[in-house]
Amino acid sequence: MNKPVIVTPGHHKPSEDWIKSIPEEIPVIFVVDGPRGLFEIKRPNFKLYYYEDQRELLGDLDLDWSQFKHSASIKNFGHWLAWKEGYDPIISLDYDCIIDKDFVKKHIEVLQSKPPSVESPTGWVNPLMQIGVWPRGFPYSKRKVVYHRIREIEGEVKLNMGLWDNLLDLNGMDRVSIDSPKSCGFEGPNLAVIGNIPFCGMNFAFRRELAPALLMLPNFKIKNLIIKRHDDTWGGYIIKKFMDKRGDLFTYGKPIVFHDSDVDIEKDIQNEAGTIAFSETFFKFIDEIFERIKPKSYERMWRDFSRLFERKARGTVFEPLTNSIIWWKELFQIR
Amino acid sequence: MYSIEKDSTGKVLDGPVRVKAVLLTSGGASASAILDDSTDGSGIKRITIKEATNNNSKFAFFGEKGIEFVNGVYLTLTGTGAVCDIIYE
Repeated sequence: MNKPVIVTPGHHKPSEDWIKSIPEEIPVIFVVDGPRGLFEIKRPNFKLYYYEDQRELLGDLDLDWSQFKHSASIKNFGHWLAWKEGYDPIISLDYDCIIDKDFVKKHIEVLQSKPPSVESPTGWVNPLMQIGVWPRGFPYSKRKVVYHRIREIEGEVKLNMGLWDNLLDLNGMDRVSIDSPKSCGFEGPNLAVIGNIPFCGMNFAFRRELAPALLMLPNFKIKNLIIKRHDDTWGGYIIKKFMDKRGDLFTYGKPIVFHDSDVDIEKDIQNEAGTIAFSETFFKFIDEIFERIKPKSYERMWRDFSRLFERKARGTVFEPLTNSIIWWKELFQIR
Repeated sequence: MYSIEKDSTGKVLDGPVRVKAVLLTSGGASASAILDDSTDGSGIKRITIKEATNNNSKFAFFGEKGIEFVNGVYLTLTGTGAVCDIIYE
Protein backbone atom coordinates (compact mmCIF):
# COMPACT_ATOMS: atom_id res chain seq x y z
CA MET A 1 0.00 0.00 0.00
CA ASN A 2 2.74 2.41 -0.94
CA LYS A 3 1.47 3.78 -4.24
CA PRO A 4 -1.51 6.03 -3.43
CA VAL A 5 -3.39 7.99 -6.06
CA ILE A 6 -6.22 10.49 -5.94
CA VAL A 7 -9.04 10.05 -8.46
CA THR A 8 -11.25 13.07 -9.06
CA PRO A 9 -14.09 13.63 -11.54
CA GLY A 10 -15.12 17.07 -12.73
CA HIS A 11 -17.17 18.86 -15.35
CA HIS A 12 -15.57 22.24 -14.65
CA LYS A 13 -12.33 23.51 -13.25
CA PRO A 14 -12.01 23.12 -9.48
CA SER A 15 -11.31 26.12 -7.29
CA GLU A 16 -7.74 27.29 -6.69
CA ASP A 17 -8.26 26.43 -3.00
CA TRP A 18 -8.98 22.83 -3.95
CA ILE A 19 -6.04 22.59 -6.34
CA LYS A 20 -3.67 24.05 -3.73
CA SER A 21 -4.89 21.61 -1.08
CA ILE A 22 -3.74 18.57 -3.09
CA PRO A 23 -0.24 17.41 -2.03
CA GLU A 24 2.29 17.77 -4.84
CA GLU A 25 3.79 14.33 -4.22
CA ILE A 26 0.51 12.44 -4.80
CA PRO A 27 -0.44 11.66 -8.41
CA VAL A 28 -3.93 12.74 -9.44
CA ILE A 29 -6.06 11.09 -12.12
CA PHE A 30 -8.56 13.82 -13.00
CA VAL A 31 -11.45 12.47 -15.07
CA VAL A 32 -12.88 15.35 -17.08
CA ASP A 33 -16.56 15.08 -17.88
CA GLY A 34 -16.08 16.85 -21.20
CA PRO A 35 -13.92 17.15 -24.30
CA ARG A 36 -10.32 18.33 -24.55
CA GLY A 37 -10.08 22.06 -24.08
CA LEU A 38 -12.89 22.29 -21.51
CA PHE A 39 -10.31 23.37 -18.90
CA GLU A 40 -6.76 22.65 -17.87
CA ILE A 41 -4.94 22.25 -14.57
CA LYS A 42 -1.24 22.87 -14.89
CA ARG A 43 0.31 20.95 -12.04
CA PRO A 44 3.01 18.28 -12.55
CA ASN A 45 1.21 15.64 -10.47
CA PHE A 46 -2.13 16.08 -12.29
CA LYS A 47 -3.04 14.10 -15.36
CA LEU A 48 -6.32 15.08 -16.97
CA TYR A 49 -8.34 12.56 -19.00
CA TYR A 50 -10.78 14.15 -21.42
CA TYR A 51 -13.40 12.26 -23.45
CA GLU A 52 -10.82 11.77 -26.23
CA ASP A 53 -8.36 10.13 -23.81
CA GLN A 54 -11.09 8.00 -22.26
CA ARG A 55 -12.09 6.79 -25.74
CA GLU A 56 -8.51 5.86 -26.57
CA LEU A 57 -7.99 3.87 -23.37
CA LEU A 58 -11.37 2.15 -23.36
CA GLY A 59 -11.10 0.97 -26.96
CA ASP A 60 -14.20 -0.90 -28.11
CA LEU A 61 -15.77 -0.50 -24.67
CA ASP A 62 -16.06 3.26 -25.26
CA LEU A 63 -19.31 2.53 -27.09
CA ASP A 64 -21.13 1.98 -23.80
CA TRP A 65 -19.17 4.56 -21.81
CA SER A 66 -21.61 7.36 -22.61
CA GLN A 67 -24.08 6.06 -19.98
CA PHE A 68 -21.68 7.28 -17.27
CA LYS A 69 -21.07 10.74 -18.69
CA HIS A 70 -22.67 13.87 -17.20
CA SER A 71 -22.87 12.28 -13.77
CA ALA A 72 -20.76 11.49 -10.72
CA SER A 73 -20.38 7.95 -12.02
CA ILE A 74 -17.81 9.18 -14.53
CA LYS A 75 -15.30 8.61 -11.71
CA ASN A 76 -15.53 4.88 -12.57
CA PHE A 77 -13.05 5.54 -15.35
CA GLY A 78 -10.50 6.88 -12.87
CA HIS A 79 -10.98 3.97 -10.48
CA TRP A 80 -10.42 1.51 -13.32
CA LEU A 81 -7.38 3.35 -14.64
CA ALA A 82 -5.86 3.57 -11.16
CA TRP A 83 -6.39 -0.18 -10.78
CA LYS A 84 -4.88 -0.82 -14.23
CA GLU A 85 -1.81 1.25 -13.38
CA GLY A 86 -1.29 -0.60 -10.11
CA TYR A 87 -2.10 2.19 -7.65
CA ASP A 88 -2.94 1.16 -4.10
CA PRO A 89 -4.78 2.57 -2.25
CA ILE A 90 -7.10 4.41 -4.60
CA ILE A 91 -8.46 7.58 -3.02
CA SER A 92 -11.62 8.99 -4.54
CA LEU A 93 -12.18 12.67 -3.90
CA ASP A 94 -14.68 15.12 -5.35
CA TYR A 95 -13.41 18.40 -6.77
CA ASP A 96 -15.42 20.45 -4.27
CA CYS A 97 -13.94 18.73 -1.20
CA ILE A 98 -11.01 20.63 0.26
CA ILE A 99 -8.56 18.49 2.20
CA ASP A 100 -5.97 19.11 4.89
CA LYS A 101 -2.30 18.22 4.57
CA ASP A 102 -2.62 14.87 6.35
CA PHE A 103 -5.55 13.68 4.25
CA VAL A 104 -3.78 10.87 2.40
CA LYS A 105 -1.83 9.80 5.49
CA LYS A 106 -5.04 9.55 7.54
CA HIS A 107 -6.78 7.38 4.93
CA ILE A 108 -3.76 5.05 4.83
CA GLU A 109 -3.56 4.89 8.63
CA VAL A 110 -7.19 3.81 8.82
CA LEU A 111 -6.72 1.22 6.07
CA GLN A 112 -3.90 -0.27 8.18
CA SER A 113 -5.75 -0.07 11.49
CA LYS A 114 -7.62 -2.57 13.66
CA PRO A 115 -10.76 -0.54 14.36
CA PRO A 116 -13.63 -1.21 16.75
CA SER A 117 -16.89 -1.92 15.02
CA VAL A 118 -20.39 -0.50 15.29
CA GLU A 119 -23.81 -1.97 14.71
CA SER A 120 -27.40 -0.84 15.04
CA PRO A 121 -30.60 -2.78 15.76
CA THR A 122 -32.08 -1.44 12.51
CA GLY A 123 -29.25 -3.01 10.49
CA TRP A 124 -28.21 0.47 9.29
CA VAL A 125 -25.42 2.48 10.89
CA ASN A 126 -25.84 6.23 10.80
CA PRO A 127 -22.47 7.98 10.34
CA LEU A 128 -24.10 11.23 11.48
CA MET A 129 -25.69 9.78 14.63
CA GLN A 130 -23.59 12.14 16.78
CA ILE A 131 -25.51 15.15 15.42
CA GLY A 132 -28.89 13.45 15.09
CA VAL A 133 -29.43 13.75 11.34
CA TRP A 134 -29.49 11.10 8.64
CA PRO A 135 -27.43 11.36 5.46
CA ARG A 136 -28.53 10.93 1.86
CA GLY A 137 -29.07 7.28 1.09
CA PHE A 138 -30.25 6.31 4.58
CA PRO A 139 -33.61 4.52 4.13
CA TYR A 140 -36.50 6.45 5.66
CA SER A 141 -38.05 3.30 7.12
CA LYS A 142 -34.88 2.77 9.18
CA ARG A 143 -34.64 6.32 10.55
CA LYS A 144 -35.08 5.67 14.23
CA VAL A 145 -33.12 7.02 17.15
CA VAL A 146 -31.42 3.87 18.38
CA TYR A 147 -28.39 2.98 20.44
CA HIS A 148 -25.48 1.91 18.28
CA ARG A 149 -23.39 -0.83 19.88
CA ILE A 150 -19.60 -0.88 19.73
CA ARG A 151 -17.75 -4.18 19.77
CA GLU A 152 -14.58 -5.86 18.57
CA ILE A 153 -14.40 -7.53 15.18
CA GLU A 154 -11.76 -9.35 13.13
CA GLY A 155 -10.89 -8.41 9.57
CA GLU A 156 -8.84 -6.12 7.39
CA VAL A 157 -9.98 -2.63 6.51
CA LYS A 158 -10.38 -2.46 2.74
CA LEU A 159 -12.43 0.70 2.38
CA ASN A 160 -12.55 3.87 4.44
CA MET A 161 -15.21 6.53 3.92
CA GLY A 162 -14.25 9.98 5.18
CA LEU A 163 -16.95 12.40 6.29
CA TRP A 164 -17.55 16.07 5.49
CA ASP A 165 -17.91 19.43 7.16
CA ASN A 166 -19.67 22.58 5.95
CA LEU A 167 -22.23 21.21 3.49
CA LEU A 168 -23.27 17.79 4.80
CA ASP A 169 -24.48 15.12 2.40
CA LEU A 170 -28.22 15.15 3.13
CA ASN A 171 -31.27 14.58 0.94
CA GLY A 172 -32.74 17.79 -0.46
CA MET A 173 -36.09 17.15 1.25
CA ASP A 174 -34.33 16.94 4.62
CA ARG A 175 -32.54 20.25 4.05
CA VAL A 176 -35.98 21.88 3.78
CA SER A 177 -37.14 20.50 7.11
CA ILE A 178 -34.05 20.91 9.28
CA ASP A 179 -31.46 23.55 9.89
CA SER A 180 -28.52 21.58 8.51
CA PRO A 181 -25.52 21.52 10.86
CA LYS A 182 -22.20 22.74 9.48
CA SER A 183 -20.14 20.00 11.06
CA CYS A 184 -20.43 16.24 10.95
CA GLY A 185 -19.36 16.26 14.59
CA PHE A 186 -17.22 13.15 14.22
CA GLU A 187 -14.38 12.85 16.68
CA GLY A 188 -13.29 9.27 16.18
CA PRO A 189 -11.92 6.70 16.26
CA ASN A 190 -13.04 5.43 12.87
CA LEU A 191 -15.50 2.57 13.16
CA ALA A 192 -15.99 -0.57 11.10
CA VAL A 193 -19.59 -1.07 10.06
CA ILE A 194 -21.53 -4.23 10.81
CA GLY A 195 -24.49 -4.26 8.46
CA ASN A 196 -25.35 -1.38 6.16
CA ILE A 197 -24.29 2.24 5.85
CA PRO A 198 -25.26 4.90 3.31
CA PHE A 199 -22.22 5.22 1.09
CA CYS A 200 -21.17 8.66 -0.07
CA GLY A 201 -18.71 8.86 -2.96
CA MET A 202 -17.24 12.28 -2.14
CA ASN A 203 -14.29 11.12 -0.03
CA PHE A 204 -13.18 7.53 0.32
CA ALA A 205 -10.15 5.30 -0.04
CA PHE A 206 -10.09 1.66 -0.99
CA ARG A 207 -7.66 -1.17 -1.60
CA ARG A 208 -6.91 -1.94 -5.22
CA GLU A 209 -8.40 -5.46 -5.06
CA LEU A 210 -11.90 -3.99 -4.52
CA ALA A 211 -11.93 -2.04 -7.78
CA PRO A 212 -13.49 -4.78 -9.97
CA ALA A 213 -16.52 -4.88 -7.64
CA LEU A 214 -16.91 -1.16 -6.99
CA LEU A 215 -19.16 0.36 -9.62
CA MET A 216 -20.82 3.74 -9.27
CA LEU A 217 -24.12 3.13 -11.00
CA PRO A 218 -25.10 5.31 -13.96
CA ASN A 219 -28.29 7.35 -14.22
CA PHE A 220 -31.10 5.40 -15.82
CA LYS A 221 -34.77 5.68 -16.63
CA ILE A 222 -37.85 3.82 -15.49
CA LYS A 223 -40.00 4.77 -18.45
CA ASN A 224 -40.04 8.61 -18.17
CA LEU A 225 -38.76 8.70 -14.58
CA ILE A 226 -35.05 9.50 -14.34
CA ILE A 227 -33.17 7.83 -11.49
CA LYS A 228 -30.28 10.03 -10.34
CA ARG A 229 -28.03 10.62 -7.34
CA HIS A 230 -27.95 6.92 -6.53
CA ASP A 231 -24.54 6.22 -8.11
CA ASP A 232 -22.76 5.94 -4.77
CA THR A 233 -25.58 4.91 -2.42
CA TRP A 234 -26.62 1.97 -4.60
CA GLY A 235 -23.10 1.13 -5.79
CA GLY A 236 -21.94 1.36 -2.18
CA TYR A 237 -24.68 -0.97 -1.03
CA ILE A 238 -23.36 -3.57 -3.48
CA ILE A 239 -19.67 -3.24 -2.51
CA LYS A 240 -20.56 -3.53 1.18
CA LYS A 241 -22.34 -6.81 0.45
CA PHE A 242 -19.23 -8.12 -1.32
CA MET A 243 -17.03 -7.03 1.59
CA ASP A 244 -19.31 -8.79 4.06
CA LYS A 245 -19.02 -11.98 2.01
CA ARG A 246 -15.25 -11.90 2.42
CA GLY A 247 -15.16 -10.60 5.97
CA ASP A 248 -13.40 -7.37 4.97
CA LEU A 249 -14.04 -4.18 6.87
CA PHE A 250 -15.65 -0.92 5.76
CA THR A 251 -14.84 1.98 8.09
CA TYR A 252 -16.04 5.56 8.30
CA GLY A 253 -14.97 8.76 10.00
CA LYS A 254 -11.71 10.58 9.33
CA PRO A 255 -10.26 12.23 7.30
CA ILE A 256 -12.94 14.88 7.16
CA VAL A 257 -13.08 17.20 4.16
CA PHE A 258 -14.48 20.70 3.83
CA HIS A 259 -17.31 20.32 1.33
CA ASP A 260 -17.19 23.65 -0.47
CA SER A 261 -20.25 23.61 -2.68
CA ASP A 262 -23.51 25.32 -3.41
CA VAL A 263 -26.71 23.38 -3.29
CA ASP A 264 -29.88 23.75 -5.33
CA ILE A 265 -32.39 22.23 -2.93
CA GLU A 266 -35.28 22.20 -5.39
CA LYS A 267 -33.19 20.45 -8.03
CA ASP A 268 -31.91 17.92 -5.50
CA ILE A 269 -35.44 17.13 -4.37
CA GLN A 270 -36.52 16.51 -7.97
CA ASN A 271 -33.45 14.46 -8.81
CA GLU A 272 -33.65 12.35 -5.66
CA ALA A 273 -37.38 11.51 -5.75
CA GLY A 274 -37.10 8.32 -7.80
CA THR A 275 -34.02 7.11 -5.95
CA ILE A 276 -35.61 7.65 -2.54
CA ALA A 277 -38.77 5.88 -3.68
CA PHE A 278 -37.07 2.78 -5.01
CA SER A 279 -33.94 2.41 -2.88
CA GLU A 280 -35.39 -0.10 -0.47
CA THR A 281 -36.79 -2.19 -3.32
CA PHE A 282 -33.37 -2.10 -4.94
CA PHE A 283 -31.64 -3.15 -1.71
CA LYS A 284 -34.02 -6.09 -1.31
CA PHE A 285 -33.39 -7.04 -4.94
CA ILE A 286 -29.62 -7.01 -4.30
CA ASP A 287 -29.99 -8.99 -1.04
CA GLU A 288 -31.77 -11.75 -2.94
CA ILE A 289 -28.93 -11.93 -5.46
CA PHE A 290 -26.35 -12.11 -2.68
CA GLU A 291 -28.03 -15.15 -1.16
CA ARG A 292 -26.47 -16.99 -4.11
CA ILE A 293 -23.01 -15.41 -4.11
CA LYS A 294 -20.12 -17.29 -2.53
CA PRO A 295 -16.95 -15.63 -1.26
CA LYS A 296 -14.23 -15.48 -3.93
CA SER A 297 -11.93 -12.75 -5.21
CA TYR A 298 -13.74 -9.46 -5.85
CA GLU A 299 -13.25 -9.86 -9.57
CA ARG A 300 -14.74 -13.35 -9.62
CA MET A 301 -17.62 -12.37 -7.34
CA TRP A 302 -18.48 -9.51 -9.73
CA ARG A 303 -18.60 -12.00 -12.58
CA ASP A 304 -21.07 -14.16 -10.63
CA PHE A 305 -23.01 -11.07 -9.60
CA SER A 306 -23.30 -9.79 -13.16
CA ARG A 307 -24.65 -13.12 -14.37
CA LEU A 308 -27.23 -13.31 -11.57
CA PHE A 309 -28.20 -9.65 -11.94
CA GLU A 310 -28.79 -10.02 -15.66
CA ARG A 311 -31.08 -12.99 -15.09
CA LYS A 312 -33.02 -11.49 -12.19
CA ALA A 313 -33.40 -8.00 -13.64
CA ARG A 314 -34.86 -9.14 -16.95
CA GLY A 315 -38.24 -7.47 -17.46
CA THR A 316 -38.01 -5.45 -14.23
CA VAL A 317 -37.42 -1.74 -13.68
CA PHE A 318 -33.75 -2.50 -12.88
CA GLU A 319 -33.03 -4.10 -16.26
CA PRO A 320 -31.48 -0.89 -17.68
CA LEU A 321 -28.62 -1.29 -15.15
CA THR A 322 -27.62 -4.69 -16.54
CA ASN A 323 -25.59 -3.20 -19.36
CA SER A 324 -23.38 -1.19 -17.01
CA ILE A 325 -22.82 -4.17 -14.71
CA ILE A 326 -21.72 -6.42 -17.58
CA TRP A 327 -19.66 -3.57 -19.03
CA TRP A 328 -17.74 -3.23 -15.75
CA LYS A 329 -16.93 -6.95 -15.80
CA GLU A 330 -15.64 -6.71 -19.38
CA LEU A 331 -13.57 -3.65 -18.57
CA PHE A 332 -11.50 -5.55 -16.04
CA GLN A 333 -10.68 -8.16 -18.63
CA ILE A 334 -8.61 -5.55 -20.53
CA ARG A 335 -5.08 -6.21 -19.32
CA MET B 1 -40.91 -4.42 -9.61
CA TYR B 2 -42.15 -3.66 -13.11
CA SER B 3 -43.33 -0.68 -15.11
CA ILE B 4 -45.80 -0.03 -17.88
CA GLU B 5 -46.46 3.08 -19.94
CA LYS B 6 -49.89 4.11 -21.26
CA ASP B 7 -50.92 7.04 -23.42
CA SER B 8 -54.65 6.40 -23.54
CA THR B 9 -57.59 5.31 -21.42
CA GLY B 10 -58.04 1.57 -20.93
CA LYS B 11 -57.14 -1.55 -19.02
CA VAL B 12 -53.60 -1.53 -17.67
CA LEU B 13 -53.20 -4.74 -15.66
CA ASP B 14 -55.05 -7.72 -14.32
CA GLY B 15 -55.28 -8.01 -10.53
CA PRO B 16 -54.22 -8.56 -7.89
CA VAL B 17 -51.36 -6.09 -8.09
CA ARG B 18 -49.79 -3.37 -5.94
CA VAL B 19 -49.15 0.00 -7.55
CA LYS B 20 -46.06 1.54 -5.99
CA ALA B 21 -45.72 4.74 -7.99
CA VAL B 22 -47.20 6.74 -10.85
CA LEU B 23 -45.53 9.29 -13.08
CA LEU B 24 -47.90 11.49 -15.05
CA THR B 25 -46.38 13.55 -17.85
CA SER B 26 -48.59 16.11 -19.50
CA GLY B 27 -48.42 16.94 -23.20
CA GLY B 28 -49.77 20.06 -24.85
CA ALA B 29 -52.42 20.56 -22.18
CA SER B 30 -53.08 19.87 -18.54
CA ALA B 31 -53.52 16.17 -17.76
CA SER B 32 -55.14 13.86 -15.26
CA ALA B 33 -54.93 10.16 -14.49
CA ILE B 34 -57.46 8.14 -12.50
CA LEU B 35 -56.67 4.54 -11.62
CA ASP B 36 -59.56 2.37 -10.50
CA ASP B 37 -59.73 -1.16 -9.18
CA SER B 38 -61.13 -2.96 -12.23
CA THR B 39 -60.32 -4.00 -15.77
CA ASP B 40 -63.19 -2.03 -17.32
CA GLY B 41 -63.42 1.28 -15.48
CA SER B 42 -66.20 0.18 -13.13
CA GLY B 43 -64.16 -0.16 -9.93
CA ILE B 44 -63.38 1.99 -6.91
CA LYS B 45 -61.13 4.95 -7.67
CA ARG B 46 -57.84 4.37 -5.86
CA ILE B 47 -55.50 7.02 -7.30
CA THR B 48 -56.13 10.42 -8.86
CA ILE B 49 -53.30 12.63 -10.12
CA LYS B 50 -53.47 15.93 -11.95
CA GLU B 51 -50.73 17.85 -13.68
CA ALA B 52 -51.76 21.36 -14.62
CA THR B 53 -48.58 22.51 -16.29
CA ASN B 54 -47.99 21.65 -19.93
CA ASN B 55 -45.10 19.28 -20.69
CA ASN B 56 -44.35 18.69 -17.04
CA SER B 57 -44.31 15.62 -14.81
CA LYS B 58 -45.80 14.70 -11.47
CA PHE B 59 -44.40 11.74 -9.55
CA ALA B 60 -46.34 10.03 -6.77
CA PHE B 61 -44.85 7.27 -4.64
CA PHE B 62 -47.14 5.17 -2.45
CA GLY B 63 -44.61 3.61 -0.08
CA GLU B 64 -42.98 0.21 0.07
CA LYS B 65 -46.32 -1.60 0.23
CA GLY B 66 -47.95 0.44 -2.52
CA ILE B 67 -51.72 0.52 -3.11
CA GLU B 68 -53.49 -2.77 -3.66
CA PHE B 69 -55.70 -3.29 -6.71
CA VAL B 70 -57.58 -6.55 -6.24
CA ASN B 71 -59.43 -6.85 -9.54
CA GLY B 72 -57.13 -5.02 -11.91
CA VAL B 73 -55.93 -1.55 -12.86
CA TYR B 74 -57.94 0.60 -15.24
CA LEU B 75 -56.64 4.01 -16.30
CA THR B 76 -58.73 7.00 -17.30
CA LEU B 77 -56.30 9.44 -18.87
CA THR B 78 -57.17 12.95 -20.01
CA GLY B 79 -55.15 15.68 -21.71
CA THR B 80 -53.68 15.82 -25.20
CA GLY B 81 -50.36 14.01 -25.38
CA ALA B 82 -50.44 12.85 -21.75
CA VAL B 83 -48.45 9.77 -20.77
CA CYS B 84 -48.85 7.77 -17.58
CA ASP B 85 -46.13 5.43 -16.25
CA ILE B 86 -47.27 2.92 -13.64
CA ILE B 87 -44.73 1.13 -11.47
CA TYR B 88 -46.07 -1.98 -9.78
CA GLU B 89 -45.31 -5.24 -8.09
